[in-house]
Amino acid sequence: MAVILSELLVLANAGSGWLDVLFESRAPVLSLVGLSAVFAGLVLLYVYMRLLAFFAGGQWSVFVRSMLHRPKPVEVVDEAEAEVVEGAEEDELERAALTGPLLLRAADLAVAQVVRTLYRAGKFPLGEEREVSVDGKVQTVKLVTVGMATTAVVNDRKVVFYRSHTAGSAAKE
Amino acid sequence: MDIFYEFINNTGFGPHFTFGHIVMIGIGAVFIWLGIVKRFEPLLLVPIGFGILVGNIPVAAGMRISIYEDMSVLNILYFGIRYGVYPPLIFLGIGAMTDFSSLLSKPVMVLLGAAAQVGIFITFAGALILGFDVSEAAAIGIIGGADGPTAIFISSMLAPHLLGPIAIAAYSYMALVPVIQPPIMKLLTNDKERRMRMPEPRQVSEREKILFPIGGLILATFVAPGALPLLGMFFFGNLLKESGVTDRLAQTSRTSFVDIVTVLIGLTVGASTQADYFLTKQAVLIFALGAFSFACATAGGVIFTKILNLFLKKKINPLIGAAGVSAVPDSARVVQHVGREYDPDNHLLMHAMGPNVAGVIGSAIAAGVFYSIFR
Repeated sequence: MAVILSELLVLANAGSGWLDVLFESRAPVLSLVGLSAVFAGLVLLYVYMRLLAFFAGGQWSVFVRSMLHRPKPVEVVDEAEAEVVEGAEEDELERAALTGPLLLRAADLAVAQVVRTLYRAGKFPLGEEREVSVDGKVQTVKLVTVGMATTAVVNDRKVVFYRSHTAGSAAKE
Repeated sequence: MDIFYEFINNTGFGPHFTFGHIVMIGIGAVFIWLGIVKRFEPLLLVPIGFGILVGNIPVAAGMRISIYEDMSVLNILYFGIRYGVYPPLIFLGIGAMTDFSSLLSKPVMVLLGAAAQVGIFITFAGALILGFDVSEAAAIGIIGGADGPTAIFISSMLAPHLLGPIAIAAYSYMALVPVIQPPIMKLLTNDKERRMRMPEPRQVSEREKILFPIGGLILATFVAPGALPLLGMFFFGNLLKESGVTDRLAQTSRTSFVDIVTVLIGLTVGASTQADYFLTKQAVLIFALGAFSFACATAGGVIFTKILNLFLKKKINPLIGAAGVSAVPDSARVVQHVGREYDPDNHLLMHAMGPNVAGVIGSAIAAGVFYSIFR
């Protein structure tokens, strides 16, 4: 394949000599240097953003807490081996319920909290329906997207448990 | 009778009138039509289109009216283009509008913004083959970043004689993002990839948003100091927005201030396209290279996303790679639109904003690198 390609290039070059022009102008080297510089700059920004997320985004506190405490196990009626619970901010949910156009009911709070934790851990894909047991009560939960907000449908009632920062507000049902 | 002849000579029907003026007036009318009727970037195309009309009214030399005559009104306004003043001011406004949350919530998206810049460097090589010198080739290559202000900034520094065609090409392709990108995106992805859903981004803290423009400026401009005027203003505008204590400044920067500069930049770029300077073989080549550059940038972003997916646990929808070009927020909107064609409930907009703003930074760094090498 490489031989055929190089033969084709030589053949194409025979007419106008564009390949010679390309290499005489040092274009490949200059392009490579330029593109590497762009990647270097943006890779630096990537590392910086990861550090920001860790130190300024609160990930360090989750990390420290996970080192100090054993996560509380959650019973899930499913084959998913979910055990990540640490980091669910109940106060944040309550605040959202008070300030936003959020249809969050007190009875659904615990379910929403568990589902959100599972969802963030990548163990509860959108569109999938599962049975979740919280405090011994089994509830059917399905995750859907309403507008730009992720919504947990708990026993046919909709609970917006995460409001997108770009959406501005959750969709009212 | 002499006075009558002199009057006739000084009207638009005098000896300085050429067929080229009619062609350019036609092009200006098409721009205005595209902006008003087709709604393709009206905020850009209407001022540019009208500027083309203004710049191509045949005027006798020595009347101090033409944009290229010293101290004419248009010439004074053109100062901001010629010396690269307007682009950084536009970047201030863009910075004050930009929300980095989507990028900060998924930092890997920044690499898509870098990948889409491949179009710039491929076109740079292509322009060299076609006989442009290195400075001209660098200025032409930047069109692939789909960033009008950056293209104006770098061509005013490296190839001022090509400023008109490069600026018009860059803004035209920015306006034509919804036409150019979707076929390339569809060609390079399959049905399953287009339907791929992505998890909600995490919420980003205020502290992250405030610290990002400060560290971002330092890191990006240490790599490419030539990008300082653009990125300095960009990150400054963003800090005004995110600091929470300079709301008035941020509000002004992203509304009246950027609107005034947009009017000036659009009108003067349009007026600079006088037939004698614009209707040349070089301008045609620049337009062709610009389209090629933009297509390569879109393809580069999509292909890189597919390569990146080979190494990622949580896959990225490859359509999002197309948003790596820095036409903000147009290419992100295109990604959302194409994604929803195949799955109406798939909302990709907020995910696509990440590479889109990374593309702005990436193309500015590319411009800075060119400026550092070829100044």
